[in-house]
Amino acid sequence: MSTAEQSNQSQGQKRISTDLTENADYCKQVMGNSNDLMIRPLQCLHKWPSVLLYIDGMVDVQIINHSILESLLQTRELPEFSADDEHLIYLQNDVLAASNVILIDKMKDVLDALLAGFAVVLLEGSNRGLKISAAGWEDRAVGEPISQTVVRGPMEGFNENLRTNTGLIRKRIRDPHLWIEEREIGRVSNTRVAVVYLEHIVDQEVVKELRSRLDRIDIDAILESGYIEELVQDKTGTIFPTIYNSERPDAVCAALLEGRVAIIIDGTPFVLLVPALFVHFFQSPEDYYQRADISTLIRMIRYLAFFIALLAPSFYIAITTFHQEMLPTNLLISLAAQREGVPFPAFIEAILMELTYEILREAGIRIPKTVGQAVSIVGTLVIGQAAVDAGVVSAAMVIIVSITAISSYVIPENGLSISVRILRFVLMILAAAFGFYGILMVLLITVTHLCSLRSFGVSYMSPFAPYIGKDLKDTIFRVPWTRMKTRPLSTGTPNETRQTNKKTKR
Amino acid sequence: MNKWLQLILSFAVLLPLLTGCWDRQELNELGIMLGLGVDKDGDLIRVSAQVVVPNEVSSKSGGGKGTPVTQYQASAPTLFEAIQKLTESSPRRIFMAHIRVMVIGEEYARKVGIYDITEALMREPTVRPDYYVMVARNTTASKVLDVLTPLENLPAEKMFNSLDVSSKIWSPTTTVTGDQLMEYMLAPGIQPVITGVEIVGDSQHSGSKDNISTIRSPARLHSTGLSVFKKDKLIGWLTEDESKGYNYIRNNVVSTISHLPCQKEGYVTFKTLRTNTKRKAKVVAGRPLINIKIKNVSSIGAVECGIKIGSMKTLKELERDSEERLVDLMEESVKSVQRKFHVDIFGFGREVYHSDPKFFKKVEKDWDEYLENLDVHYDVNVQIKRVGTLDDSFRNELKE
Repeated sequence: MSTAEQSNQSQGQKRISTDLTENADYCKQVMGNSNDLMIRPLQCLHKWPSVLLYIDGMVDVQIINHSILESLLQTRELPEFSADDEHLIYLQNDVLAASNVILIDKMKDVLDALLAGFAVVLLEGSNRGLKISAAGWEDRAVGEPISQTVVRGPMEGFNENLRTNTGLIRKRIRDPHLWIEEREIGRVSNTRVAVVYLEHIVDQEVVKELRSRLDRIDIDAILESGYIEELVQDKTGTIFPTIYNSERPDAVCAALLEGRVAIIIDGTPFVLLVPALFVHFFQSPEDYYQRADISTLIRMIRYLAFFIALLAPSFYIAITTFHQEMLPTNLLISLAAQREGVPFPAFIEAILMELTYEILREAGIRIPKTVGQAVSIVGTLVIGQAAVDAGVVSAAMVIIVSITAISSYVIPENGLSISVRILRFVLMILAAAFGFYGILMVLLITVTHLCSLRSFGVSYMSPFAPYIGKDLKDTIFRVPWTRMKTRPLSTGTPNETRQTNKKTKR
Repeated sequence: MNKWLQLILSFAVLLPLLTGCWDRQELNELGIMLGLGVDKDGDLIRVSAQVVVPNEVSSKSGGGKGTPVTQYQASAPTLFEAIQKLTESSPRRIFMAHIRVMVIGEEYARKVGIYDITEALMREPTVRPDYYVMVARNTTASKVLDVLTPLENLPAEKMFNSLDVSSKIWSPTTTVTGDQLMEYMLAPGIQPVITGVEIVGDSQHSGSKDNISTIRSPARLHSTGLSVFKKDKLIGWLTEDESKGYNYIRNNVVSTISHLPCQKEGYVTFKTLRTNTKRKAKVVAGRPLINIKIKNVSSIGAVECGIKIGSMKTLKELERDSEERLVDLMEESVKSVQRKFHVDIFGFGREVYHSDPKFFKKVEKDWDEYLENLDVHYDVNVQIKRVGTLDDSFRNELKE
């Protein structure tokens, strides 16, 4: 048993002492005399010796000054008190001008309250204390989402504060059935995690499953939603994301209304959504804000881009090294002309270029913004011109790599484009070894694997496999809202009707 | 993990069994053969391969020093031996999937026959049978493949395209692909016909860059006339008019231009917009009868004489004249084939076979005799739908 756990246990048993200095010393000792722990001795209502504790940086100084100190330091006529605790209850009910004042009696509660941004008041001679909510740490303002941008639609994105995030959702769904369950996960970090769902729409089985999976987590810290995502997903041995994440309140609300469950984690703007289907990764919130016909067209382009990003290099390799007879004669000759003088086989050439691209991509993300331009210029020169002129790669290969790279950004959710990148390399190797036969093999295995995946009990490939005809309305197509009468059945919602079937007269 | 191991093992076992296109070959290890020429070389067969030089056709600066194609030759007793033997002179393996044209030397076609090479090429899986077959008229295939051409810098591609285009807009030529050729050789009641190609002009420097460095190339390739085959041997050539008639009967004409003499002087030019031929055979009292029905839609291209094409009467007359001319064309063609070659290149036998298989089976052996006295009935319907952007010709209004 570690010392941390030992101290945890002793804290759990230790009650608040009636001696003020002992309490203060205990706090100091447990927190290693950290200098952000503020201990402010004061004469409460100018009569009772007391101490105010808080952690600087986690509380709003305005609240401490105006609500707590001002009310504690006033002078007023006092009624008679018989028992010790009545002092505290009098403070709680009649003196403190704060919204949330709670009685606590254990030293562990004191420490937890301090670490959660509460202020604690302890009175001499009382073995209980008061915790007063005064949390106020620095937060990023609600701003535009960065990873999921739209042309039309709300420009609000989640921020790192859990309460702000739940507020953003409540703002959009003003319904008492929107339930928020909160829990703390992480032995050390004690991260707040909220499970949000619409109680009358969600499939209760999914919520139950999610609860039990969250409760099973025993990890020392949750620093980002990625931790939770990995810990609760159905299968870890897959390259496909089975949990959707979004930075956009409108996307999360839409998902809630489809009967899905959102998991909000304190400290990250990325909200997880379960169950997630394969088709979800091709949907952008914008699809629902613009006309159905254009959305359908754009979705088809996304699927096309998905296949291009997945297959373009391997197709090129397979065709140019195995199936030359499939090319039109003129194209074959022109490709052959470009390949003249290139010393590598097509596969090596493709791997070289794809690796160069991946390196540039990674560098582009990690590099400080101020030198970013240098990398992009070098990248363009290296990939675009110099490599061809130097005869290291053929011009056609540059086209293939560029179209692949651009296509992989069309997929709205980053998780899936990572899967595509991994699969692309597998496909390239197999294409180099076996041609189209290898490509077909990988695709077959991939489809089989995709069909075997589940996200919280829901088949990942639904509504295609298993086939749910009614759900096809929002897959490759997005039918007009007037036709979207039912919620997606694949989420298992008991509440199918989204619109009444009455025809509106126009 | 065990599951994955099983999976990988089963693939490792299955993969070698299931491969179709196994050969991995890089593009720059291939000698892409566009034209295949076959000639007689004593008792041997001489193969001429027109192979692309990718560097020379590249759009990048490097090109322009040498010729876009090169030719390798080898002789051997059989076609494939000869093709394989090409590597004696070629640095790369010859890749046959993209053959555009196969040229057969006239001597080879007359004396040896085209069966052997058709068989070999149809059997070979890498060769796609969509190449056009041609006969080198009065010359050898290797000479034909030796001519550099302007505009389309790959000669085989030029031959392919010019035959393709002219068969669509000019009635005397037609295309025959490798698979069609085999079909015509095999099908009962029809004999193959192959377009000829000849070299016109001075062929002395045909293979050097000189040939394309002047506005008028000294040596040019010219697709001309149709060659008539009996079984697999060439027996003769059709004239241009006979070829036209043949193509009308075989429904090969897509569109073409033709002319009729006016009553006084000059010509009226017709553009055939579309034409469709239907052949029907009937056996009446043991005598086969062929009905040929043509529906032809034309427009008027030019009028040199002063007839009034604005009037319905003139148009009707023109239609009638044109119908007569078509019937004449076809009759001439059929008669000359009956007289000169005694082979059924029109596929009349096939029509008889389709309408009365039993009767045809009986007469199949002596079909050529039947052909000589075959009754062919022509029914041509020409419609002039348009007269162009002028009404009456303005010849009469020309100022003296």
